[in-house]
Amino acid sequence: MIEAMKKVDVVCLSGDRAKVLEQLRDLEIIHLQPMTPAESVELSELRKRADRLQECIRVLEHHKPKDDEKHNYSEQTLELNPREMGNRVHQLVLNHESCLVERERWRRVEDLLKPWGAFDPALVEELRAKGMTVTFCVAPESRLPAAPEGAILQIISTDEDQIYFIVISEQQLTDELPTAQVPMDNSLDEVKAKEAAAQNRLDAVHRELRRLADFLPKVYADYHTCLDQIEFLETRDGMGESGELAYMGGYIPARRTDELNQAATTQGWGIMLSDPEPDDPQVPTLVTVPKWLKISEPIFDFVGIRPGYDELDISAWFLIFFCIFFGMIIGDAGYGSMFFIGALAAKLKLKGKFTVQTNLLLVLSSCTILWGGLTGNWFGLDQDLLKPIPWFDPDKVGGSEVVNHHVESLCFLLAAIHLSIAHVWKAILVINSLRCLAQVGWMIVVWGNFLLASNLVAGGSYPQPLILWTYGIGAALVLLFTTPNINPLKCLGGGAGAIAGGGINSFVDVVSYIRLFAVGMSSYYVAKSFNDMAGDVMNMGALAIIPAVLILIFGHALNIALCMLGVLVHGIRLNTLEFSGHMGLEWKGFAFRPFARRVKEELVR
Amino acid sequence: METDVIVALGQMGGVTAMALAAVGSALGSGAAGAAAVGAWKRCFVQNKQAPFQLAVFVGAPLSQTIYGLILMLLISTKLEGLSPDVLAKFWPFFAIGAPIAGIAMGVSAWMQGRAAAGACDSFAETGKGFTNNLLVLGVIETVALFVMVFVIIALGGVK
Repeated sequence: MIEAMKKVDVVCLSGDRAKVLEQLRDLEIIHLQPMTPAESVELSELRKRADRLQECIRVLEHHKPKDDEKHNYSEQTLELNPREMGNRVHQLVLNHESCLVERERWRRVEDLLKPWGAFDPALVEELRAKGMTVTFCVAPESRLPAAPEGAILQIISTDEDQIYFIVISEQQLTDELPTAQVPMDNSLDEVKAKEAAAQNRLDAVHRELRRLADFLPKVYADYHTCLDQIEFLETRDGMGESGELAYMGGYIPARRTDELNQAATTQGWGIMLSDPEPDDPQVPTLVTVPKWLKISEPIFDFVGIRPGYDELDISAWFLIFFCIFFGMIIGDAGYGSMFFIGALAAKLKLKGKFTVQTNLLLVLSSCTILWGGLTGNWFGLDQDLLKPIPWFDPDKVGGSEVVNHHVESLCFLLAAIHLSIAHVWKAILVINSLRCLAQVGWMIVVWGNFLLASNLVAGGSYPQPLILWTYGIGAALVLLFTTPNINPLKCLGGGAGAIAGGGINSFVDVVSYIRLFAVGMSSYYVAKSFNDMAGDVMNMGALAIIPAVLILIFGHALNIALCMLGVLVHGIRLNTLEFSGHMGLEWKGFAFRPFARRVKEELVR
Repeated sequence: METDVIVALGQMGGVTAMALAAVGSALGSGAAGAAAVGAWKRCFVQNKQAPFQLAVFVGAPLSQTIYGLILMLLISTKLEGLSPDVLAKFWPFFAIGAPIAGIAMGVSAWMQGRAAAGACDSFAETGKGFTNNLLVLGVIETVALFVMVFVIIALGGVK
C-alpha cells in the first residue's frame, strides 16, 4: 500500500534553524526538500573531507590485515582524528606511487645491466680516462662481427638470441659496431640494493596501510558522520528566508501529522499542512506492505524501482507471479531443493539477520521444487522414480512434443491471467465511469490473444468462431468506451486509436510469455547434456569418477548461474514491462527518505 | 527434388533461423556487455556502488534466440505433417524465408544490444530510469516478436 502523504511547510526563526533541524532529525518524520542550492565555506570543507575519507576507505579496503596482523580495533587507540586519517592515507598513497615508480625505474636499469654482470663502472671510466675506447655491444649470434683491427672483442654473456660483448681498443674505432645501451651511473649490486630499498619502502607503506585498515569501522563511521553533517548543512543553508524567518518544505506520512503537530507545539515552530497537488512530481513514495509481503522488498530494492505516488502498489501480484516465473525458469526440483536447503542453513547460521532475504529464497525454492516436481525434472535426469504428472508425462500424452505444447499453453494462460489482472484492476479504478468497460474490453482481447496464440504456437484447437467472437466483443468495447463521448467521431476515434496502437502489442505481450517455456527447456537440456557428458566419462573406468563428478559440479553450477540470469532478464522483465505496460505503470517514484541521522551510536563508539 | 532432401532443407532453414537470431543476440549482448563493464569500471573508479541491474540490460538481447528456437521447433513440427506435394511447393518458405526471418530477428537483437549499451551507461551514471530503459528495449524486441508471430501466421497458411 502506498501511504498517503501530506505536504508540510515548517517555519521558524532564522536564528533557530539549526536547533529546529536537530529536532526534526530526531523525529525522523519529514522528507525534506532544500529550498535553494546551498554553498558555504564550511560545506565546502566538509565535502573535501568526505572525498578524502572516501579515498581512504577505497584504499584501506584493498589492504585488509593479514591473519597474523589482525587485532580488535577497539583495543587499540587510533592516534589520528578523522581529518588526519584521511591526510595520512592520502600521503601514503602518494608515497606508494613514488615508491612504485622508483622500483620500476631500478628494475629497468637492472634489466639493462644484468647481461653485463657485476662490473665496476668506475673501472670503465678509468679506462676511458686513459684514452681507451670501451664499447658495449649486442648482436644476434649470426651477426657477431669480427674484432676490429687493434681491438679486443670479449664476449660477456649470451642469451637465447643475443650475444653481449665488449670491444676495447687503444684507438678510436672507425668500424660501425652494434652498440648497446648500458647505464653507467651505478653498478649492478648498487642497482639491486636501490631496488630492494624501494621495495622495502613499498612494503612499509603496505604494512602501515594494513595497520590503518584495522580501523576501517571507525573510518566508515567518520565518513557517514561527515555525510550526515553535509546533509544537515545543505538543509540548513538551503532553507528559504523571509526577514527574520526561515522556512522549508517537505512531505510526511499522513498518519504522523498528529505527531508533527505535537512536536511543533512543544518546540515552538510553525507548520502548515496541506494535501499534495495531484500532479506534484516531488511527492516521495512510502510503500507499506503487510508482513507476508515483506519478502517482496528485496526484489524491488534490487531492481531499484518504486511506483509513483499517484500510481498503484502491485507488490502482491508482482511477488506471486515472480515466484511462478522463478519456478518455471529454473524449472528443476533438484536445484530448488539445493536452494531450499541453502536458505534453511543460512537462516540457522545467521540467527535473525537477513530474515526477509532467506524467507524469500525459501518461497522461491519451494515454487521451483513444485514446478520441477510437476514436470518430473530432477537435475535433468531421466529417472523412473519421480515421474511428472500425467499432463507433463510424454508416455501418457503421446510424446514430448505434446508436453511442450502443454507447457506453452500454460505460459499463454499465465499471460492471460496476469494481464487480465492488470485490466480488471484498472477497470475497478474507473468503476464509476464508462471507461471501465474499455478495460473489460481489453481483458477480453487478452483472452482472444490467448486463444489465438494457443492455436498458432501451442497446437491448440480452439474453434475459430470463438476466437473471432472474443476479439469482436473485446474490440467493440474498446472502440466504444475508451473515450466515451456523445460525439460519435470523438468516441470512435479514441477507441480506434487505442486498438491501432495497442492491438498487436497486446497479442505480442501474450506471446512474449513463451520465454518461460523456452528458458525452462534450455535449462533442462543444459543439465541433461552435462549429465550425459559425465555418464560418458564414467564409462571409461573406475578412476574416471573424479573427472565425472567435476563435470557434474561445474556443469550444474554453470546451469544455475544461467538460470539466475534468466530470472533477472525474463522474470523481472515480464512484471516490469508487459504487466506494468498493461497497468499503465511508469515506476516514476522515488523512496521516502526521512531527514534522520544515518550513523548509529554504536558505530561511532 | 526428393522429399527427404526437401525436409532436410526445411530443417536447415529452421536451424539457420535460430542460428542467425543467435548471432544477433551475441552481437547485441556483446555490445551491451562491453558497455556494462565500462560503466562498472567508472563506478569503481568513482567509488560508487556498481549497479548489478545492468546485467538485466546485457541479457535483454538473448530473447531473440528464444524466438528463433520457437520458430525452429514449429518448422520442424510442421515439416513432419506436410505431404510431399505441399513440401515441393512450399520448400522455399522454409529454406529461404525462415533464414531471412532469422536475420530480421538477429538484427533486432543486435540493435537492442546497442540500445542496451546506452541504457547501461545511463543507469550506471544516474541510477534512474530502469523501467524507462526496459521499455525502450522492449520496443526494439517487439520487432523480433512481430517477425516470429507473422511467420507463425504465415506458417499456418502452409497446408
